[in-house]
Amino acid sequence: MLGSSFKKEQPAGVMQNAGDLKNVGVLSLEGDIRIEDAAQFKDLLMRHMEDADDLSINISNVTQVDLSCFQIICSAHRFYSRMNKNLSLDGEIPENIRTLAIKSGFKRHKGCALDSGDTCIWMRI
Amino acid sequence: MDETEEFTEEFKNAFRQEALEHLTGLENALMELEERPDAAELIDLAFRSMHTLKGSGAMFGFDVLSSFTHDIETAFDLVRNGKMKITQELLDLTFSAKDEILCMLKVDYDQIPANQKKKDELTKSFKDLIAHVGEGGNGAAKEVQKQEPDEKKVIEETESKRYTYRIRYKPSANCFLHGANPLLNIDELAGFGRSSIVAYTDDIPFLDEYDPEVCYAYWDIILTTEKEIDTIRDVFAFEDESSVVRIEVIDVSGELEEGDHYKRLGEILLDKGDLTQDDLDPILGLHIKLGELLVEKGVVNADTVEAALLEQEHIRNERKSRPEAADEMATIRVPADRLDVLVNLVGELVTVQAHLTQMAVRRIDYELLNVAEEVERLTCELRDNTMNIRMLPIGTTFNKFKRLVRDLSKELKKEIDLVTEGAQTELDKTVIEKLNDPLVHIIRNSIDHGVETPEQRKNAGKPPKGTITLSAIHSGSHVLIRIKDDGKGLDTEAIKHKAIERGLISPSAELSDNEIFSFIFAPGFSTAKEVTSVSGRGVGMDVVKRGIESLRGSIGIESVKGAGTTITVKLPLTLAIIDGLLVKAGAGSYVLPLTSVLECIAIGKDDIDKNHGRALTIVRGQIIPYISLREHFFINGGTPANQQIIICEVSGRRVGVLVDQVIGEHQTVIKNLGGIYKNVEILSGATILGDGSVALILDVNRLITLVEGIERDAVKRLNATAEMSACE
Repeated sequence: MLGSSFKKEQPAGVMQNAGDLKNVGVLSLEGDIRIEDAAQFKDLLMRHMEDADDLSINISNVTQVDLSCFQIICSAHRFYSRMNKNLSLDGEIPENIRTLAIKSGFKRHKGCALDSGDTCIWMRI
Repeated sequence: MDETEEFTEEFKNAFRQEALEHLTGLENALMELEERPDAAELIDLAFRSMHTLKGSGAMFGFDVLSSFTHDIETAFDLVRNGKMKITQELLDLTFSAKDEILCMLKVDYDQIPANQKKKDELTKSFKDLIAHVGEGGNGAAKEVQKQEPDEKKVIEETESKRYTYRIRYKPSANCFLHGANPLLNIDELAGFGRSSIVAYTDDIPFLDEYDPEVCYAYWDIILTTEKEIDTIRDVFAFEDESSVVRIEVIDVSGELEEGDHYKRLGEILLDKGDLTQDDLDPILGLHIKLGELLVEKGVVNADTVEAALLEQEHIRNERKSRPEAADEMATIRVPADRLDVLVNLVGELVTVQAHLTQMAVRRIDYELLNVAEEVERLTCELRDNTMNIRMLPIGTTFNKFKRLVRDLSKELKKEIDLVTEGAQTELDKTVIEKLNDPLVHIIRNSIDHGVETPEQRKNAGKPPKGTITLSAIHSGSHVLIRIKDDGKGLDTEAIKHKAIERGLISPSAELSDNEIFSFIFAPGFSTAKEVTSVSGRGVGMDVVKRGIESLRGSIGIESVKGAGTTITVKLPLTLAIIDGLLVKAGAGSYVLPLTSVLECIAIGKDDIDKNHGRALTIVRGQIIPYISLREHFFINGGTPANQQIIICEVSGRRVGVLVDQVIGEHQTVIKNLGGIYKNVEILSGATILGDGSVALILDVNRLITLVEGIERDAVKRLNATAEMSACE
């Protein structure tokens, strides 16, 4: 069962000019993200794309995932990239999720063609 | 012997040979275990040696050997499992057992009653050791039984093949709807062995087009496992028809191409069908990283490149991780006599090639000369390669001496370390085989006469443990083997005294240290005050010298009283082909080994006559005696006006050999002269020249010794005649 909360954060650092200011939304998730939760997860990511310039997903409280979760993260990252937005993972990645991602062959040394700024989520794990 | 018996005997011999290798390995392991009793790899090696001997022994009819090794195997199994410790008692028993197994390989072992007794004693000792462990805890026998599956595993591990599969797995898009989880299949495959997995994500659409119930991802899995392809297929047994499962074998240990290299990125992509040659060719010419460029140009996606790179890394790692297996496959066992036949044939070829070259030169036929040159080049390569096959590292011999030093120093209550250096130095197989006995003599002498007892060493201010260093190094076309001890050194006074006593020198003779040391090589010479079981009978060093000289080598001694002795053995790299100097005396051709030749000097008939029959010449102020081959071989008539003296250096002395003509350097393939000529000591063999004629190879050292003996006898006869005349 997927639970979530969303908040906006001001990025840290020195602002050079008004154009540099970006809204960063943090989507904190908890519980499971499996095939039965896939539609809900997709909707959350679609919805919050409008709310912030960049989105961080915190999955430190997520207990279990499956392939559908990995597919949606990948899909969302591409979608955000196309919109000139950035999607990233925030906080600690639970060990079981990291292990599953590696064992399923998602770990990457280089992002896909759409990943212009080396922000591929699978390079982080 | 009928055909079946012959066949069985052939297998038995193969087992004997294998057993010898295992026993050598075992002995080395035991010796190292004395230093490092906790070394797990050595304990495992000892166990495996016994395990193999037991199994193979039973298979080839060595039942006594097989049952004898059972208890030793059990003991090392207990050690392996931490139930028993390596003790000196266990090691000593295993050393004795190893010697006994060596005897068991002989045909008539069972027929000698003493063998039975020795075997039973050893078996009882091992059983007692094992029972002692059993008393302390779980029953030993029970523990051994428990280990049976492990043993089977050991055999399986060493014998089975490892396949590397490339698996493309694309589950059907609606697999989630059927409740399938593709990751479970991948997980099952990963459990079969070592895997590298890449998930392809290029089919995953943007989020707004994403259907949560569709499986978009697919995989390339590189799996190395011992499982057969059918087992791999079974993993996908429940996939529906729209799934894609492609399984290819891309590497098999020992069968497909070996070495830790693997295909290049482009080759892998072509192989997998991810790329066509037409796509690849224009990009290859750009000299930029292929993977990056392919992605940049949109020819393939990043996942495809990632998968290919991962495959490359996987296979390279796999091949690197099995060097031993690869080595085994790359090595074949060939009987030594077949190798000898090959060397002989190469020898013949060298001779025919020389004939061809001579003919081409004589006919001034440029086409033939070209062919002759090509044949010469190939023959040289073939000769060098064949000679290399016969080269063995001297370490195999060195290892035997570790046991010798261990046993002998214990017997003589001395503490001695044997340090070996240059074990990888290679020498011709024949030289190594014949080197064993001389080296045993020298090392036994060093232990018995050289290194002092711990007490004596302490009194002399030395550490109680002595060291014997056995080293081998290359020196040009020779190998120098040094046996150095840090013992008491040679007592020049005692040697001189003994030499005087034996009438070898006069009491007033003034000799250098080297001259005094050389008496050690005189037959029956020993300064030992008492005869031990090891040495002191005066038989040995003269045999050593003769043994080394028969290998066309030489031996030298350096010694400092109180500090130790170094014996240096100088040996040629090979005995099969030597560089020689071809000369003529009368109609005969002779070869002198080039290693003993210093220079050639022309001498006229008048100069020879001036000496009134004394075979002496002066070279740069030094008087040098020479031996006339014509005189020695009774060649009469046709003496040329100008002859040549070949100045040779043998054992530090310069002696000339007078010949008619020097033809030049000659690659000499040595042929044995056969039994009829076995007493002709001055000839070490013969060689066939390019024109088919035979040249005799002179053993210069023996020639000099022989002529010296003849001269000495002549002088004695003259003196006797003079004395008789005086009496009359």
